[in-house]
Amino acid sequence: MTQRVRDLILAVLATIVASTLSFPYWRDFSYWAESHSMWWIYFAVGFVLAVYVFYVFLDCVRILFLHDEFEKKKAASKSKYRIPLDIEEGGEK
Amino acid sequence: MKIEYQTQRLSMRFFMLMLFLFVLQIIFGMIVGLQQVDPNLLVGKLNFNVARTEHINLGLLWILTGFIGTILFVGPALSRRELAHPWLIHVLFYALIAAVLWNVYAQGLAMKGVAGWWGGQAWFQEGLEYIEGGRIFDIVALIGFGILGFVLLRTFPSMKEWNEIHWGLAIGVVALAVVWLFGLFYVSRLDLQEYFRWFVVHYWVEGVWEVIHISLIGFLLVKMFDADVKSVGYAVFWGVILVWLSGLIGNAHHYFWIGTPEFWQFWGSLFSAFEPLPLIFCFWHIYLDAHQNNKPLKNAPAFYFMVGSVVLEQVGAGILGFTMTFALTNVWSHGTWITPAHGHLALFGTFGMLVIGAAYYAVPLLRGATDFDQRLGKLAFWLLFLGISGMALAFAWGGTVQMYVYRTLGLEWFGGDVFPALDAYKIFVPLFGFVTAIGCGVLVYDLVTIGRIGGRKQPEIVNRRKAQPTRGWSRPFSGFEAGIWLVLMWIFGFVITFGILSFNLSQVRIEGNPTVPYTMAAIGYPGLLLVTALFVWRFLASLESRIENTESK
Amino acid sequence: MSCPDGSCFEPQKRIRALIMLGLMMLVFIMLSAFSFVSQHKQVTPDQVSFDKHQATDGKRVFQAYNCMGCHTVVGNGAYFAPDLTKEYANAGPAWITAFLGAAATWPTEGAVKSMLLMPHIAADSGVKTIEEYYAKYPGAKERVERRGGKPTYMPNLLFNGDEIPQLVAFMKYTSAMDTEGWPPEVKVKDLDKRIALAQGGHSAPLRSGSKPAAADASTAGAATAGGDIAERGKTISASLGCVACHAPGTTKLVGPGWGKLHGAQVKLADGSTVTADDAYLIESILKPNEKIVEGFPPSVMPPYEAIVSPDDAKAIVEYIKTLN
Repeated sequence: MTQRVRDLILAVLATIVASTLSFPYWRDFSYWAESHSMWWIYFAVGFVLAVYVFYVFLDCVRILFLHDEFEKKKAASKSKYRIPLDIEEGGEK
Repeated sequence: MKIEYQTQRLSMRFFMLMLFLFVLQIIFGMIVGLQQVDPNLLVGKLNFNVARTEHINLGLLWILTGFIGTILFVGPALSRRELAHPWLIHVLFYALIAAVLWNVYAQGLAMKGVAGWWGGQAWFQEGLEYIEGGRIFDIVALIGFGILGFVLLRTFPSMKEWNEIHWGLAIGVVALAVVWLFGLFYVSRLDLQEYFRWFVVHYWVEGVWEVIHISLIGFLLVKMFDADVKSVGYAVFWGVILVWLSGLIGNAHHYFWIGTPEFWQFWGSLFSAFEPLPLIFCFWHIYLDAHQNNKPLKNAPAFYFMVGSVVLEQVGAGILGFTMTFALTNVWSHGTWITPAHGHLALFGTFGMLVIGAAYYAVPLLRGATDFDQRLGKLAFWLLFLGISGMALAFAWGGTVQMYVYRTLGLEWFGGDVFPALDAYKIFVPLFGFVTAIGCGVLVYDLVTIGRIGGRKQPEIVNRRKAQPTRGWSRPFSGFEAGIWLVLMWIFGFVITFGILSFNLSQVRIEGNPTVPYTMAAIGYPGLLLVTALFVWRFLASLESRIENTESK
Repeated sequence: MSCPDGSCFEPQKRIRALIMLGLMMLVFIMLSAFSFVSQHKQVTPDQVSFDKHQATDGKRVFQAYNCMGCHTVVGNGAYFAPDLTKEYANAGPAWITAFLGAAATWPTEGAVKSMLLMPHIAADSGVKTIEEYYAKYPGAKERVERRGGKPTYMPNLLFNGDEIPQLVAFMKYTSAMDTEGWPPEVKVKDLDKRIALAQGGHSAPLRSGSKPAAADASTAGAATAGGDIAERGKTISASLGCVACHAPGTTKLVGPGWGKLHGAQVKLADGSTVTADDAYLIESILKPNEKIVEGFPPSVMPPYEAIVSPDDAKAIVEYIKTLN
């Protein structure tokens, strides 16, 4: 199973939980923007967008950790090597 | 590090003004807290609504003042040149003082019902929670934001050289003014007015301030830990995007009961359920950057407050916000003390602690005090942290009782049964307020005197050990352990959430038996706050015990 | 560097994220547009009035006094005092008017009754007798019974002019709003049971003041009968809520102050001048619209002859005399 599929499954699961907690069980369809068909659209669009948000979250947290590993390796292999910092100019030791 | 650009020194006066306004805010906060206990206190002289408005407005204003100070300090360093048009910053400073004084005075007019109506607008004060300032204040503030944005953008290098921190700050400062515009007109429909009021409040706090917060945390991490600017930039970009991806529609959690249609209940619940995600992301970001190389803390108080900011953001904004953000829980918690429990931790915790941290970073540098006594700063941190946590606990427990007595039982307030039911919890608000006030006093004394009073130096306790201990409370802090702490916090968060959800059970709602929600609140809130305090202690103890010459040098 | 192994398509991801953000903005704007179209049938303040007062004006008064700084409305505000959204539906215009006039004291039944004497309030509440009023506005009944005449925690804000009816109009508007089922309906029935539960499940509910404190003027009067007649007048005027509009000094509130009033020369709206003697003052209590004092609009004060006996009116006049 690739990383992507795993992330997607997790995102879908998280969205299902969030949707279950979010569903307004007492709705009364009082006007057209709250009609049954509109509710299906809301649910579908909301679900896709929410899955995306969670998927992105998983992806960028993982990369955050990858960065860290990468930095540590670099520091270990080349302890004298300094990364040029864009916003640094001397000053800090 | 020494100060390279003279205009960075302009930030000092803003930090000092910030401290002054913080003290004022705490004074009004103490009055409001005591009025909760005795509602007759100062009636007719300073009614609760005026004192509370001052408390809220000064809270926002000192944080904004701190933001300005931090941005002025950071701007030249980010741009590698002096601030553009420093005279405008002088204007900004005095305009800010004038606007604050005017607003403090004008809010008092509410006692006589004077709003200064003219041309359909309220010019003196407009009695809308969080944006109580009248048009006069609003317009001066707008000009102030304009000046700040103009100076910052003129100082920045050309756009080609911008990294994500530049972008974050630039967008943040411009959006500060743009979002403010939605509070600049009178709306006669209550539902529409509340709709736009939350545009200002929600998008400011969860859209704009959060962006500034992420950018400033990013910058300070680069400075304090030599973190790599590109990976910090990555974190800033995705932090900001996650804030907006969840918070843009997440604003709908304010539109459940204000007279807007019910579809908001679905949208608001679903997306604000994900609003803690950027905060979890930010949490890992600060953890990883602080652990990339095991450099010891040079400036402990600054880092204490930054950790406090990110952790209380996680707990106050993230977890406590999560517990009450679903329509199913919010229908009970809306309009009760559950809200200020979240509000105090989220606003002071996230933004207040950030600007205090920034002040602790900047002030010693500006005064050239490289070796200052850091103990007072640490003490101030713990007092403020415990004070605000205790207040949140009092509000949360009181709010749970209030949900039951006010909503489930439908009883009445003053003279009725809600007010006496809250008695036991009301006392703890000024009590922990007092702890916070002492913390504020220590903080102000320390920041005002650092580098001034006869060379208070860091006592020689460092370097007694040869290496960081590998066991015990101050052993190195692994990512795995941090994850466990985070999961623990969230477990308690879910206990709280299901506690509020349980108000929907027929056992509670029809039979009126509060055992389930009371038990879950009794476990959830103190559990959450205890885990939070222990986590902060553990994190900081580990960092404190780092010693020089381990790996990084 | 954003992806160490170079396989994470960072620029594409960023663009995709911005596109999704744009989509969300579109969703948000559309939902917002749906929220305020007329098909939604949400009530607007220009559709609601109380007597000749508009809810739109009431909203300005509501903001000017920063009511939200203590109360909440649609659940937003300060959590220090009750939520006002459904206050009109719960307590009704007569109770609210009586309360706001002298907010430092909980209105007694006499005060609510005297408000019901005003034609516009009676018309707006849609009832004739206090019993019907209580049936329609149960909040008023509970409050009068449990704490009528006792001090409140709300400061007396000394509203002027039309501010009170304007606020009533605003609360009528918020009551009419569809707030999607908030605050949630109370499903625990029986007030005594609820009070007992709130007080920690005592079997015998401790209803404070379950006996009407000063339910109406005659009881209050009878209780002190035989005592000082002026003192009795003071009690009656307090229980009727007279002090809401009439200051004990010479200050003009809604009506003229009572200080130095007895025996004074009073100029009437028709240009004539009368002496404020006992007979004039009694008539002004029982049939206030017979002679209107210059500078005061007519039909503001209800005719009290329905609920105040001539003896009680005399007692009030005796009390007014002591204020000279």
